[in-house]
Amino acid sequence: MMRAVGSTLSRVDVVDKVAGVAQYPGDIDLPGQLWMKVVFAGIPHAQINALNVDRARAAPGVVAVLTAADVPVNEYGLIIPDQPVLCGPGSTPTAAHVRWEADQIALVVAATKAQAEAAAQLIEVDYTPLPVITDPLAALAPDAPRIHANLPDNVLYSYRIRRGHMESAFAQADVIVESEYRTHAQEHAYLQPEAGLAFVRDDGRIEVIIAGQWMHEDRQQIAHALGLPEEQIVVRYPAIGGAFGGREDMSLQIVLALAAWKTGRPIKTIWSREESIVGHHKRHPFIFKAKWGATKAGKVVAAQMDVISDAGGYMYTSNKVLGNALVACLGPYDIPNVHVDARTVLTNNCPGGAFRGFGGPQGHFAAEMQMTKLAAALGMDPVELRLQNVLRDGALLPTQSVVPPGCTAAETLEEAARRGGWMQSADGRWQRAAHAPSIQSAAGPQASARQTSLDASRRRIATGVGIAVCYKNVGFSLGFPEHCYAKVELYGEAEIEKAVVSCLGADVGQGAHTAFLQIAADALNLPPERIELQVEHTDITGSSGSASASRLTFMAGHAIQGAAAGALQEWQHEERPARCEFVFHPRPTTMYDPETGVADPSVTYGYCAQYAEVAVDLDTGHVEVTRLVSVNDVGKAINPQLVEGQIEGAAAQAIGWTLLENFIQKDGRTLTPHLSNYLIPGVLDIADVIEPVILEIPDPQGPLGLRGMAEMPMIPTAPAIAAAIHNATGIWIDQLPIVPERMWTALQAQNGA
Amino acid sequence: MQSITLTVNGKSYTRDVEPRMLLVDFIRNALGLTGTNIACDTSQCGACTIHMDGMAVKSCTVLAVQADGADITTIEGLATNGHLHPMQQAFWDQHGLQCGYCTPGMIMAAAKLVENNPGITEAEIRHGLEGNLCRCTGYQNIVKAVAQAAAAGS
Amino acid sequence: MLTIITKPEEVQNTAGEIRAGGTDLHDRYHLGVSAGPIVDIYKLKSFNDGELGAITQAADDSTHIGALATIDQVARDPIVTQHYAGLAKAAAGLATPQIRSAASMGGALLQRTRCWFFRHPHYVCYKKGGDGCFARARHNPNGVIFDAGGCVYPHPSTLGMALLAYEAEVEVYGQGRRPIVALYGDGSDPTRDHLLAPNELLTYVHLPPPVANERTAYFRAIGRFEAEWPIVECMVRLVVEEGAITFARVGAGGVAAVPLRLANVEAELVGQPATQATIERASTVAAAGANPLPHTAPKVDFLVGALLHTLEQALD
Repeated sequence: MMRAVGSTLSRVDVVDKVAGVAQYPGDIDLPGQLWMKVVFAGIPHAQINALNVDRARAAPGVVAVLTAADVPVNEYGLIIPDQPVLCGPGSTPTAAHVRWEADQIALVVAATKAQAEAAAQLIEVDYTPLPVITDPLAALAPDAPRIHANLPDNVLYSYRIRRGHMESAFAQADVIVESEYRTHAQEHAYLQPEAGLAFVRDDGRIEVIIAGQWMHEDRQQIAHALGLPEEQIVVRYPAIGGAFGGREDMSLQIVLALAAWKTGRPIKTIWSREESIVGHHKRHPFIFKAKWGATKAGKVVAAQMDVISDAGGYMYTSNKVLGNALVACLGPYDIPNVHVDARTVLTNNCPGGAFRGFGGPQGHFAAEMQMTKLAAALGMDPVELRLQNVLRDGALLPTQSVVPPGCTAAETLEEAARRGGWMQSADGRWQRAAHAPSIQSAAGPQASARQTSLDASRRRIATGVGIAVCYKNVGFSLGFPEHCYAKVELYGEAEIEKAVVSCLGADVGQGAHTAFLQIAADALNLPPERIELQVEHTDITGSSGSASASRLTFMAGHAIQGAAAGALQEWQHEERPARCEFVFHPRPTTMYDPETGVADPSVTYGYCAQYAEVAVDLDTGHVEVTRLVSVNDVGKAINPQLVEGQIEGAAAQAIGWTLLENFIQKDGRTLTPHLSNYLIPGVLDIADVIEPVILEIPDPQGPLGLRGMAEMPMIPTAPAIAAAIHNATGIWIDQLPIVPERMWTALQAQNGA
Repeated sequence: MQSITLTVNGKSYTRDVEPRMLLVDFIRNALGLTGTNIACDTSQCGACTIHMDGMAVKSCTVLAVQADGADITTIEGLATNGHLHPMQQAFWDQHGLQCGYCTPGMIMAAAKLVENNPGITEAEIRHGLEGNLCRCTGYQNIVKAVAQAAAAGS
Repeated sequence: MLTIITKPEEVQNTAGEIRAGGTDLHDRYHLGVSAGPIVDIYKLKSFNDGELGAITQAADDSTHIGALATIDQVARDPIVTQHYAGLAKAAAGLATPQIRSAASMGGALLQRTRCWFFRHPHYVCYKKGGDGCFARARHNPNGVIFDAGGCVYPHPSTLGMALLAYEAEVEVYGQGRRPIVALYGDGSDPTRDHLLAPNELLTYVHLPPPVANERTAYFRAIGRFEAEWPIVECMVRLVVEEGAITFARVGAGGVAAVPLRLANVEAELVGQPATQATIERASTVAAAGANPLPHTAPKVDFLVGALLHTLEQALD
């Protein structure tokens, strides 16, 4: 029989999706449903003195207007419950404090959408505006107003690493590179805006139908806020229109359940694109102050980093992202002397939270820029310098634990280098024929076929190449009790006629369910068409954990294999149907020591290296990526077509983040709440430039040797592009995004200098 | 309220509509055809693309009353006699989708594009799809899918 | 409230914002920037044998474009592509295919500003009855480089700019024709995007007879490869006879509160040899008088570069 793993089996949902019958949350209607309008504060920092909803309650069609006083336990949060479900008086002491423009203050439930929206206009709020803090550095000032009154200052969380002796290490260094890097917020812009329904079932429990990333976590947070046992809540995921980390925190889950519970009626709502962009978290902006030193021989001996991220008004996953960035900002290198101070700081900006890479893209931008600069300062090839310092099996992480076995940072980097024109010479050193930055005329053969661009004159185009490498943890880290459930049931008499495989990992578009099917098929030695997946709701089996942290195929793969093996054993014991529910627990991890950062932080890591070629218009500052090779070690490609899709999609998001996407807030208000001014890459922006390359070097811990892979190709793109820009122009761009204005200003400064 | 009569996927409908109702809302809410998606509200994304009197249009920019008398095809009407349209098949074959939310609009735009230009080049495909956004795929497989369907039709 | 009219004269007795293709008005409604009654004119497309939705050439070779002709029609029409190629290129370059199929000629000329603050419900600026420009003090990298002191967001109409270079006239129902420049004025009134009153209906664009042997080019500089409002855009028409430029019309958009015609550049071109040196010199003149905002300084260079590129294309 053909093995399912390794084949390009069609997605399990492909027919529904091309036929237009796949149901996303907004496509579902329930009999007797009411419409809910979520009212945002619309002011970034204020105290609510009074909230008068009398006129709204009396408006036509209105069934209920819910406020803070209606929330049984008015707090929530994925990490800590520091955010009110609804801001306003009559609830907890901190709930009347608005800290973000999209803090939710009321729910208007009416017969129709138009009635709910009209009634929402009638809510009267008496605010005392408070000073708005939008700069995390200003938020650190001793006299800065506090975003959370119960905290001593605006530092929400901090970590540190202390390894070795910095002073003597810098004394050894022949070159020292110091820089400040800034990365910017990024909007997920999944095509399906938040939507959902909730209703009270015949069995008295509340069911919430929504698109999320982790059903059981949604269930837990809903239950907490409603003051109900978790068993009282059912969470169901229909088709999910993209996530990328943006559905990891609550948006509508709790308020839908609350409205259904309070009214006893089915409740539906759909956010507009504007509500989606204003109303959910973003990739954290970061500031890195870096000082690294290396010897002439090419050994990086010291790295000192000061790291600040903008948490916005609430925790979301800020401490976890910071925990990742703490290590990511040092790159995949074995550096003997390391000193990192990292803080995430409260402001009145949109909260920072999970987004593909989870601190990795930000941290690696700083780390890989430092490596590229050190190579330049040493006159060394950037690949050679990296290979001399890169983590290999047996090396210590900055947290002083041994890197988990199967470290392939070097292998991915070497493959990317080869494809970028590097060669290993007889003495083992890597080098590339120096790329002479060339200036070409527009009319020449190098001119882009794309006519409509900022490359206005096309008189002077400089080209350059760059390379970068990364690693990213797979699975929940830092002591989190990581686990994943799966269940297998086998039906038949003499032979297995049908298998039912249950695992609740969310298919956010990445194709997780198809991968589940392939892994199950091989584990059971059954053709995929004899397997039925049950993946829809929390009653089916236990938690699978989140579709995030590049963990799902890794964890679910183990769980499904375990359940399959157990069910086959039962089958041998003549059980009919044969059943097994299995919980996979990976090896445990540990939290950072508060003083030194010593830890065994992560189960394992995935590795990716990218090579970029760019064209920079010297007159306009427009940067175009003309080639991007992304080499990913995925251990084992369960479905190569799906894996390539992840690489291409991640790289496109990374090019967007680096060059185009510019989420702008002023005074705590979002100025780019539409796809007309928050620009995501279109089909011409990502013209045929991404070359996905799959390596399959097994991870000893992975099921079938597979490695998590979906975030990694988002990570090295920005520093590879920035290195290529330097190669082309001699200019270091240390701040993202590299929009034409920024590049042009740097080119002007260079001309003036 | 105004009464309109129009043909959608070969079937005639007469309905009373609010004068300001958008065609996309009519298709989704009055007819229950939810394959046509809404993703941006500002006519950037193309997820709501349908065929109206032979043209690919964003149904979020058309009023339902304007469609009085029109002949409309949505993603649900693209397959014939239980057979997927070649463009649907091509998106399947080439893995031209991930989350699938942009897919109906992308397929409708692409089907019209290829119908109007059977020998279409890759550059023309890209220019023709500039009104449709996808956040998942990086577009590589979408372009391959459209090229496959164009080749199949020629 | 939405009223569908079937005869142009009805517009004078019907209060409301005019909706043609609806691509801009719908956006403003969605954002809460517009909320009042709507006068829908799409049915006028069939009025008078469909003249308001058609492109026709008159006996004197002048061309009339009905205000309800779509952008896509303008981009593809054989009369336009043959005789007014620059206009066709400009029409083909804006927005995206589906929008070009829906949006109208008249709407393209009379659309409201795309300023982020104008289209944000919180900010009440000059154009929404307020007394200030929020983009001036806050975020304005998209802003003007010829600052008239009021609204700092550039006019969005690509076709308005192109038609300036074609010295087109527009016709308002019941009032006859006026030069297109009179549709916009000089940009000194920050409350206006155009100078028509609410119940004035734009019916036709009239293009003068084509100029023999003209070479045209249009260029749109954007930071992305598609579907974006231009950072700067240029329209050039040239006639070259025996190596010398004998006729020049130059338009520029994205740089001022109204579409601009660059007469100073035209003067620099006419009578000069059709050489690289001439167009380089003329391009630099485009920046004369520029008074950019703190964030828009790069756009001065972009305008010069984009204009040079457009002139090169026209001469190519």
